[in-house]
Amino acid sequence: MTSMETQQENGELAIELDSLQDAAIILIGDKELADSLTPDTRSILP
Amino acid sequence: MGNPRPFVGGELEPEFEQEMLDFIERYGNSPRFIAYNSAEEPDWHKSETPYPVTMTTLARTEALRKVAPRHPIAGTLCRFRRFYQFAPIFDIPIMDAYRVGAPSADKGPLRWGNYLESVSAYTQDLKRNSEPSPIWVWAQGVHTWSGRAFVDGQIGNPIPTPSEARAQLYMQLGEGAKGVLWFRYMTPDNMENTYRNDFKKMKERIEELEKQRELRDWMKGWQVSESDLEAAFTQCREFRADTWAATQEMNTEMCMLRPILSRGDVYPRVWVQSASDRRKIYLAAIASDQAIVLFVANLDYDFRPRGYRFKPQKGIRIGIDRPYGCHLRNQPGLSKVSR
Repeated sequence: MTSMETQQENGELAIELDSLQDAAIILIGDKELADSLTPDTRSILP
Repeated sequence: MGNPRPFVGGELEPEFEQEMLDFIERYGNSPRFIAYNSAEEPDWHKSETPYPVTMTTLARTEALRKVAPRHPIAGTLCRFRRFYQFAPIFDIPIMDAYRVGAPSADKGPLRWGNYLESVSAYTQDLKRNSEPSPIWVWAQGVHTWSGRAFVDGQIGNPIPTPSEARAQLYMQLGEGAKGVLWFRYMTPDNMENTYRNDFKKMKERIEELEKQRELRDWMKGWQVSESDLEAAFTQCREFRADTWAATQEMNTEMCMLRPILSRGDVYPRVWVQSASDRRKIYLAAIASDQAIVLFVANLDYDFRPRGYRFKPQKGIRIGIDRPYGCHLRNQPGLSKVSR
């Protein structure tokens, strides 16, 4: 996946991915929310 | 509404009861324990009369509830299309369905490999039969199963590749799994020793069957030399390191998304408009009140003993109906969470 874009069409969202090798996760949300999601892996990593 | 919970009664196995009670009396209220697993694949064996198995599972679960009333009681299931029989018993139903090189309750197209996307069907089935309880899944990580260690006379890759592990996990999350347990963590030494023993046993078994002239077709091509084996054991460490690193990345991703995935639920109004082969794209979404998380997996792959080969998809266009109650701006931002 190399780039993405969002469009507004009749109340729908459209997302384009240039490519997909195996699998991907995409978060659709406001920037403030995305910035607030910080990893805290201390509790589960050995 | 959830399913009715019609099971009552059932007999407990005395040994299990004593062992369990002793343990919980000593340690059971520690906050380090978040749940108890009362059953480990009670649905593994096909049974003409499954009722007694169900009743025993229920009895164990009820006994655990009595001694650990503040802990949720979980149970691990494995047989697709029979989750209805056991899932309503548990507070947290869990399922395992390892698609690569591992034993499975369903038959795959190959002895050593199954369709990756079938893990989404497993997860859907568990969720539908468990609601309103949350479901957890076992995810295929660095493990000990050796089904793909030796394929058609050649050395394979016994460990799921990062791509195979990632695709499976994302499909489980996309179908609404609320908790993930990795099967499993292994050190490099532990991994190598396990496979040395597996190969040794396999060679002994082949020699035994050759004497009896009962060699199965898939074992007839054994042409692996000692030096090949040594190279394979060394490479096993590299395979393990790659998948281990990928699981760490996925743990980080899940931690980041926890606030959304834990509050959100499956949102079906998403679709693939175009791709190189849009029939071979998996797409699912979890929507919360704040955001949507899309899980996309490429199902255009070939079964290969050293790791499924994915053919890259190009020009993927995804459509989404805006979910009611999800407070997004007119032009919401996009973030790529995965690598």
